[in-house]
Amino acid sequence: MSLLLHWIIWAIYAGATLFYWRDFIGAERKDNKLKLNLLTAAVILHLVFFIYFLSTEGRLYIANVSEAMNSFVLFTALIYWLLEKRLREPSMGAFILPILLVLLAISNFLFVANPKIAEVLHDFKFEIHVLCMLLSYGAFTLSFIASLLQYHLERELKKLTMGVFYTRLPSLTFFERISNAAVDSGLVFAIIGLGLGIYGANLVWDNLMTSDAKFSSVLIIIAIYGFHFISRRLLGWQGDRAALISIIGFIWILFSFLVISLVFTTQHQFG
Amino acid sequence: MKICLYIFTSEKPESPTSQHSDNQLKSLDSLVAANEWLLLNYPGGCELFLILDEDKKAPTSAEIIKYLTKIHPDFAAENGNKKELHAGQAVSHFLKNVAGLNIDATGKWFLEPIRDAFEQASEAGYTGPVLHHLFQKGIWLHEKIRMESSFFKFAIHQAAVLRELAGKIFGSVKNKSVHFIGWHEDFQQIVTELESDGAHDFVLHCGDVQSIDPRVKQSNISPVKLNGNLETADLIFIGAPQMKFQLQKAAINRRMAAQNNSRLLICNYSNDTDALQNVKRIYNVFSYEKSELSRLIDHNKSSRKAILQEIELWINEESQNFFQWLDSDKRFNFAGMIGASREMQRIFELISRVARTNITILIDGESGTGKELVARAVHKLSQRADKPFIAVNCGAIPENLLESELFGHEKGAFTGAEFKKSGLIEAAEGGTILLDEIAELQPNLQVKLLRFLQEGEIKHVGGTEIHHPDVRVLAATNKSLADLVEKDLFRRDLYYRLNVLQLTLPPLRNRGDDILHIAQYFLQRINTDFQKEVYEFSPEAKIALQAYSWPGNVRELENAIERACALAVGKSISIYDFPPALHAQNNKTISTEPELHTLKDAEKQHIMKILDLYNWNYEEASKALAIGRTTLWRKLREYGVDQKENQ
Repeated sequence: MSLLLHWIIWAIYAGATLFYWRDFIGAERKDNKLKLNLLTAAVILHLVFFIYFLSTEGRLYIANVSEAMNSFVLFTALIYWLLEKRLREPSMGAFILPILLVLLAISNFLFVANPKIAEVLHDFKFEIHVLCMLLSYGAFTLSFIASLLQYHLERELKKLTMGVFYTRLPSLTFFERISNAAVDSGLVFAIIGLGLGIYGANLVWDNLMTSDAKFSSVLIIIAIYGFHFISRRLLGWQGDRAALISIIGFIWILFSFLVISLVFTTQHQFG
Repeated sequence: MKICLYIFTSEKPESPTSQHSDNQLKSLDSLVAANEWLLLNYPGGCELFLILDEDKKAPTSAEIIKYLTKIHPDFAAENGNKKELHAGQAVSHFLKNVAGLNIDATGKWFLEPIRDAFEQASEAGYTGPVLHHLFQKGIWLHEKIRMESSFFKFAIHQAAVLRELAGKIFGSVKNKSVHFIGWHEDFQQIVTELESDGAHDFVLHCGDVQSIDPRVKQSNISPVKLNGNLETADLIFIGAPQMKFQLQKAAINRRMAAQNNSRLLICNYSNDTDALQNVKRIYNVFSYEKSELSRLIDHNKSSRKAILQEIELWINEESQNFFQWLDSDKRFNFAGMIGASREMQRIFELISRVARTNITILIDGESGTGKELVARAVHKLSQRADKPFIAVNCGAIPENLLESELFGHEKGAFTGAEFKKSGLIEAAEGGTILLDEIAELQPNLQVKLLRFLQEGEIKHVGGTEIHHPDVRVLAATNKSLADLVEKDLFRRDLYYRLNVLQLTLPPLRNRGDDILHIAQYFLQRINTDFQKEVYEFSPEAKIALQAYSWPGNVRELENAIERACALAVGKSISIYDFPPALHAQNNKTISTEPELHTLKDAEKQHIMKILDLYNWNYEEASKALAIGRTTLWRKLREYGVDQKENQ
C-alpha cells in the first residue's frame, strides 16, 4: 500500500513535470495553472503521507536511504512550491522537477517495507540532525538549478545567441538572488545539522567522527558553500563565478553521496 | 453593408496625407459619400476605411486617390503603393490595427494614431454604430492579446529591445545610473524607455557642455565635461559618431572596483568599432555594438510570428462574429445593452478596455439606467465569463443579515445559525460580484469590504479562519459617493478602493435616439411574451417617447412599452396607449417652453414638471425623480419656490 502510494505521488510529480516542460519549450509563454495545481496536489499528498507516517510510526520518514531521499524530495518540492507561489515564476520548475522525479523513482526502487530501525534513530536530536541536513541539501539543489540557469543565460546574453532560455527565463539578478538566499539558508541548516551530528556521534560511537566519510564530505560541502558566501561578500564575486561555485558544490554533494553509498557501506551506521 | 479599405503607402517615412483640418475632412466626407468612414494617417502611409450601403458601388483606388488629392494636393505625388481590401479582409486588417498588431514604417503600433483618428471622426460624426462596434472589438482584442499572450512582451524597436536586454541583465533598471559618452540621435528614445522603467540618473559626458543639443538641455539629462569618471554608471552608451573614442580599461576597472563588480552594460552607438576593444573581456561587463541589437529584434520578431498564428484565429473569429452581428438585428446591442448614442459608445469602449483586467469598477447613474447590465457586460467580456456572476442589493437586505450573506457565517455564530454557511463572495469564486446600492452599506461592513478589497481576505461571521476568494468586485450606486464621503457617511478609503474606474451611465433623456432603439427592442420582446403583433410606434407616439424626460429611465420605459403593448389595438402603438404622464408631457412640449439658460434652470423646470404631474405630492415626486424627499425639499428652497403656496 505504502509503495503504491509512493508511485502515485511519483506519477503526479511526473504529470506536473510534463506540463512544466511543455510550457517551457512552447512557442507561447503560458500561465497554465494546471502545472502548479498538479505540483500542489503532489506536494500535499506527499506531505499528508509524511505527517501520517510520523503520527502512526512515531518517527520521521528518514531512517534509511530510500526514506531520506523521499523526504528530501518532499522538502525540496515544498521549498520550490513556496518560492513559485511567492515569486510567480515557473521557469525553474522545468529543471528542478526532473531531478526530484529521478530521486523519487530511485527512492521507490530502494523501498523496504518495515525496515529494522536502530533505537538511536528514534531520538529527537538525531531526527533534527537529519532534517537539517535534508533541508540544506534541498536549498543547495535550488541554488544549483538557479546557478545553472543563470550561468546559461549569462552566456546567451554575452554572445546574444537568443534561444528558448533567453525567451523564457527572467533576469540574471532573479536567479542570483535565489541562489544566494538558498546558499545562505542551506549553510545555516548544514552547520546546525553538522553540530547535532557531532553531538549524536559522540554519544553513539564513543569517538569523534574523523574516520567517517560522510562527516568529511559535509565538511567539504560547508567549505565550498562557505567560500561562496565569503567570496560574494569580500571578493565581490557575482554572476558566473558565484554560479560556478554553487554548481561545483552540488556536483560534490551528488558525487560524495554516491561514493559513500556505494563504497563506504560500513560507515555512518547506528545499528 | 459593403466594407472597403484602401491602403496607400510611401517610401518616405512621413505621412502622405499628414494631419487634416476639420474642413478638409468635411470635403472628403462629401466626396466619399459613405455611411461611415475613417481616415488613418501614420508615418509612411494612410488608410481609408469605408462602410457603404449594399447597393452602392465601391469606389476604386484611383477614385480615392483623386478624392485625397483634392483635399491634399501633394497626395498623388507622395504615395507609392496602393492596396484594396474588401469585406472580411478589410475587417481583419482594421481589427489588427486597433488591436495593435500592425506597425508603421518606424516600427510603431497603429494603436495611438487610430485612436486619435477615431476620436476626430467620431467628434465630427463620420463614424456610426458599425465603426464603433469594430473599434470596441479591436480594443477588446488588444486587451485579450495583452493579457493572454506574450505577443507585446517581445520588443521590436531598438530602444525597447535595449530596455528588454537591460531587464534581463539587471532585473529592473530602477534607480540605475545611465551614462552617455557623446550624443547620438537614438539616445533620446533610450532615455524615454529607461525612464519609464524607473531609471532616474542620466549623465551626458561631452567635450563642451555649452554646445550640447538644445533638446538634451530640456530633458533631465545632466551634462558633465568628459573626464573619464564612470564610477556610478550601470549602463554606458557611447555616442559621438564623429570623434574617435576608445573606452579606457582603467576607467571601467575603477567603476567595477567602486561597485563591488556589479554588472555593467555598455553599448556602442558610434561608428568606431574599436571603441569597446579594451573592455570586452572585463568580468561582469556586458558589451554590445548597436548592430548586434538587430539580432535581438529579429529574434523577437520571430517569437511574435510564432504567437501570431494563434492570434490570427482570434481575429478571424471576431471578424466572423462581426459579420453575424451586422446581419442580425442587434446592431445597437453591446453585450446585452442597447445604445447608439455617443455617451453609450464611450461607455462600451471603456468596458471593452477594462473588462479583461481585474480592476474594481464603480458604476453610477440614476436609478433604472442599467447599472446591472453594465456589470453583466463587464463580466461577460472578462476572463471570468464562465464563472458565476452574483448581484447583491445592499439596500434590500437588513444590515445584520447582509454581513452573513456577504461573508458567510460559522455554525452557532448567532441565533439561528445552525449550519456553517459560505457567503455570496465565496459563492462567486472565480467570477464577479456586483454590490448594488453600495451607498447603503453600513460602516462596519464598509470596513470588512475594504479589507477584502485591499488584502483579498474575508472571515466568516463568528469565525477566525481567513479565506482568500478570487472574486472581482463591481459596485453600483445611484447616489454620489463623493458627496457621501464629504458628509462622512461613506469611508473615504473604501471610496478610493472602489473608484478605480468610474462608469457614469447617462440618464435616458440624454441618450437621444437610443430611446427609440430601446423602445423597439422592448416592443419586440414584449410582443413575443404577450403573443401580440404590434410592430411599430405611431409618429406621435415616437415624438412622445422622445419628448418625455423619463425620470425612471429604462425601467420606466420598459413599463410604459409593456403597458402600451398590452393596450394597443392593431399593429402600431398610439400615444393614447402610453401612461398619462407621457400625454401630459407631450401636450406640454407642444406649448411654448420657457427659455432655459443654465443647468439649474433645466433642473428646476424638470422638478416643477414632475411636481405638477404628481399634484405636488412630495412622496410620489421624489420617487419619480429618484431623489430623497429631503433633497427635493432642499432644492425647492434653493430655487425659492414657495411650497405651501403651490400645495
